[in-house]
Amino acid sequence: MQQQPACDDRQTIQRIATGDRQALTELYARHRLMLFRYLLQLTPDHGLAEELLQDTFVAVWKSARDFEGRSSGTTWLIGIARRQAHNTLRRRGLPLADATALETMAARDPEPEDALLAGAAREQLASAIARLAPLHREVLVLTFAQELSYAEIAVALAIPVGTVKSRLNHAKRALRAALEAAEGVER
Amino acid sequence: MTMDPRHTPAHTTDLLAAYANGSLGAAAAERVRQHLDRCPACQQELAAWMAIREAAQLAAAPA
Repeated sequence: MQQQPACDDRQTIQRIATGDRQALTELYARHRLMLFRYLLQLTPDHGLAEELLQDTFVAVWKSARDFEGRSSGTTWLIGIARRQAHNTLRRRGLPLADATALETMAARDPEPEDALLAGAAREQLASAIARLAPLHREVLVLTFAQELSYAEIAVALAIPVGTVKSRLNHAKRALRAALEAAEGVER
Repeated sequence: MTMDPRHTPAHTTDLLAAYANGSLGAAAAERVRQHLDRCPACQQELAAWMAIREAAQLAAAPA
């Protein structure tokens, strides 16, 4: 992930708020790849992800004045991209993950079965991640591909930090179950 | 007093994913390191998170 000082993004967004189109171009160049990768976790359709990326920057242009600088630019952008994606998917009748059902799954403990995940081939695990429910895939990508902190993820997804932690653990359990299921099929 | 690390209040499983992605502050990271030194269960879980980290980066790369 490309690292930029947070103040650069804040200054760029403030310039966008004054109507500076060059600033919008700069912000797009700096973050389009990160946002495109993020959007691909919400929809497998590359064309739709590209469309959502454009919608995101239209929304950035319109709402830059509302940016209060309380979160990093990255977090603010992911929040906008997520809202664009969810609004569009909902409008087009595409299914969204049932967050409530996923959140009420049982809590976890450190377990010896972690050995299964630790010993899995990277490609096998990546393939299992690609098949996870969007809610689980998203939190893994934000944590490990976008390298956001729990607090930044909490802001981006508008959920409490505790939910970020429980969602990560649910995602790990789902991965383990997927690996075990795949092993069962091979037997 | 038991020395079984799985029963100590310093258990840090909720922080292991953040430890794996390097986003913990210095004090919390040090607390996790000290706990890991004596907790095989958490060492195993950290190994699982490190494997997930590599796989998530691969899964998020553009096709």
